[in-house]
Amino acid sequence: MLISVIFLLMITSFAALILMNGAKKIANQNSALRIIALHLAEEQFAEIESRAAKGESLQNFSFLGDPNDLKNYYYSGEKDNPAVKPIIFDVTTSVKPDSRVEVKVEWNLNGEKYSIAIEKLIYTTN
Amino acid sequence: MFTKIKNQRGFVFVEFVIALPLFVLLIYALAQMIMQISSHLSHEQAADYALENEAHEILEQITRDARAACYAEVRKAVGNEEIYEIFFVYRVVGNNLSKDYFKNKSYNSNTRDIVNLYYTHRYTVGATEGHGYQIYAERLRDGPKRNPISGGNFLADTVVTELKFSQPSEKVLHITLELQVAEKNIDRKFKINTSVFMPSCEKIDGI
Repeated sequence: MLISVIFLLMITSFAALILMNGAKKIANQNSALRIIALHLAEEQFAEIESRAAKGESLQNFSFLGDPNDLKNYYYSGEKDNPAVKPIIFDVTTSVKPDSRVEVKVEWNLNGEKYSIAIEKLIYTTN
Repeated sequence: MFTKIKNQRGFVFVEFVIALPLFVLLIYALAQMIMQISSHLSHEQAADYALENEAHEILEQITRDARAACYAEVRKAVGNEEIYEIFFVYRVVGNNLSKDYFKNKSYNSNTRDIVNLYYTHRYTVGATEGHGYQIYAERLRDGPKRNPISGGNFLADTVVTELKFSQPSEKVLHITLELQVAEKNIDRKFKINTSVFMPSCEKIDGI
C-alpha cells in the first residue's frame, strides 16, 4: 500500500509535468492572428477603394498593400526568445456581381489552415 | 489463531494511519495543480482579451477619424522623434456660419505611454486665426483604464509604430500598431498593419 501510494504520487507528478508543459500550447494563438488577418483584409479593401475611386475597374487583384505586411509574427513564449516564427498570410480577391468584392485571408498555424473572408460593396465611378 | 487476527487488525490500522494522510495530500496536490493550470490559462486569455480589445479600440478610432478627414498631415512630434503626430482637418457644412468651419484633431502616439494620447479640438472660425479657442479633451475621461491582470496601465504596451501614406495611391494612410505585454509568465507580442482610404481627402502632407 505504502509503495503503491508512492508510485501513485510519482505518476501524478509526471502527469502534472506533462500538463503544465502543455498549458502554454493550449493558449489560443488564433484570436490574435484573426485580428491581424482582419486588418490585412481592411488594408486590401482600402487599396481597392482607392483604385476604384480613380476609375480603375474591379478585378481579381493580388495583394496591393505593403508586401512586408503579409509576413507577420505572433510571439508567445519565453521572454527574449529570438526564435520568432513568422506567419505568412495569403490574400486573394474575387469580384462578385453588383461590384461586390470578397477578400479572403488564409494562414497556416501548426499545420492547420485557417481563413477569413469578408465581402464589401465597393463604389465605382465608372 | 487469536494472535493472528489481532496482528492483522493492527496491520490494517497502521496502514490506514499512514496511507490516509498521504492520500489526502495526493488529492490536495492534484487540486492545486488543476487550479494552477486553469489560473494560468485564464490569465493568458485575459491578456489576449485586453490586447485585442485595445488594438480594436485604437485602430477603429484612427481609421474612423482618418476616413472623414479632408486634410491630413503626418509629422514627427517636436522634441520627440519617436512620436508620430497625425493632424486631421474636417470640414463641417450645414452650419449657419457663412465661412467654412474647421475642426482640427491631432493624435499623439507616444511610444511609452499612449494614455497621454489626447486629441486637440481647435475651432477656428473662417480665416480669423487667433480668434479661435482651444479645447483639450482627454481621450479617457473616466480616468485611465486598468489592466485586468496587473492593475497597471491598460494601454501601456501598445505603440503606434508607423504612420505613413503609401506611395502609389496617395489617399491611403498606412498604420502599423505593435502590441506587447510582458506580465509574469505571460508573453505576447504582435503587430497589426492596416490601411484606410480617405475618400474626401484633398491634401496630404508629411511622411
